[in-house]
Amino acid sequence: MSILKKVEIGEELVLNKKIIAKNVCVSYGELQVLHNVNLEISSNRVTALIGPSGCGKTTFLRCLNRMNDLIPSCRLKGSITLDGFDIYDKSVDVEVLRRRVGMVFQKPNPFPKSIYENVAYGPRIHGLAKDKAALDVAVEKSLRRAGLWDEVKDRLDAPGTSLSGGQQQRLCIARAIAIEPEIILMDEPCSALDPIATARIEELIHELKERYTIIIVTHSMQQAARVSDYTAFFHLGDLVEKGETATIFTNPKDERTEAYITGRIG
Amino acid sequence: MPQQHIVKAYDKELAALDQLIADMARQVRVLLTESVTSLVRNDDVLAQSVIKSDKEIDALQVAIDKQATMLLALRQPMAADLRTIIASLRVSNDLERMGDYAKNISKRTITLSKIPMMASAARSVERMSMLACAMIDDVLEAWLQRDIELALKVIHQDEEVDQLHTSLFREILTYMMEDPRNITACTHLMFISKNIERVGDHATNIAEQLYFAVKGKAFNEGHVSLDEASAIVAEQGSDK
Repeated sequence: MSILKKVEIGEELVLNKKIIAKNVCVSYGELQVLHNVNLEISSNRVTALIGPSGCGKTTFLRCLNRMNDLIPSCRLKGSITLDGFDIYDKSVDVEVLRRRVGMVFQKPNPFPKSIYENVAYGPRIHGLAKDKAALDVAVEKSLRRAGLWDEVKDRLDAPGTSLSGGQQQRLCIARAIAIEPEIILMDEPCSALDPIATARIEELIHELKERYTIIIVTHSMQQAARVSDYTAFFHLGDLVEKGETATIFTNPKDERTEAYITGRIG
Repeated sequence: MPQQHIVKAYDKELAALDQLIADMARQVRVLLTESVTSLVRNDDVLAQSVIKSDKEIDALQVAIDKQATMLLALRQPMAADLRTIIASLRVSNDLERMGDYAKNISKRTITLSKIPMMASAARSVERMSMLACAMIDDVLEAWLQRDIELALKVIHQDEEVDQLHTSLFREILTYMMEDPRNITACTHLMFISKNIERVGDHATNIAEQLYFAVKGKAFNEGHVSLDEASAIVAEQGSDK
């Protein structure tokens, strides 16, 4: 391989890192919950964050769109960059950041509005659609991408809360992607869903990664194994091990990872 | 790493899989010993019983398949557990083949019982089979204890079995050249020798599977085969 080729591959590797977290430490008051986390998130890939309750995976996820800013005692050290720019820089407009980094929560939480309004809300307040026709297009596109269009196209005026749990979660995903984010954070998006609805979300995640970078927190290791390209294992606030999902689940390097994923007392 | 799973039933199911492998390996060892004993003692009845008993080994393989499939489906094993179950399936295949070889030795023993016996060659076969049985014992112990050192020793032991097979091959070839009437018996003995040599190879495979299950990578240090029988040529007689 020529040196030039090697340089190209090296650049490719660097360029493909959408998010780079360096030495991230997070404390809630006196309690430090993340210790020197270093993690790179690849573009257009699904990265799963796994670990036992209280390991810091959700805290880390919430750092990525500065959701933790809402908690007054929360302090962050280290740096997190998105496309090379520090998201904790004073000049960053948090609203703009959250438009680029969307989020889907554990429990489907549609607004108490119609299906249409749930999806139209984001594009409207961010001024992404100049008129009603453009808004209609945005709503349809998002519902299609979330795999929900065919099920709701005839009842767009029905309340979002009238949908089933799985449909509500896909509505929330449609709402998240309506504002054209680059990254979607998912915090246990299937924990309240049945296996069929879960499978539909997982299939959706697979389709969505062509356009978006996805980071998913999940308690289900089987889900992490099924949907993700990369897996990061957190334990007691440390990022213990990260790597390709297939490697993590067949041949982890760290004993703590092995003990956790095989269901042994760790 | 802690050895116990949080779900104790999972540990029991994995232990049951090991137990089946232990049962199968012990049964194979008994059949191999008995098949060679029947050869040395010219004992048809014992040979017949070995042929019948091979079915029990096949049944144990089915039981291992079932247990492993159940574990894969119900426990969704990961990492070392997953590798161990995959390796167990391969190990049961190896053991099943070893059982087939014991059965084949017994079939040939029955044929040999009808023609004059080559006592010295039979004793060489017995020596070889004792080594192969020791390999089975050691590889089973290694498997149950997850003992890599012992597994590597088994891989090394196979070299000795190979060497014995090579020398036995030469010996049998000599008997054939001495007297063409020996050819039938000698041909069967040669196959018997080859069968035992293959048993050693399968024991080596099991040791390699253990290495994979424990270490998470294939054993690729490659053991040197000392089976040179495939290159041996009979000398032409001087009377020509």
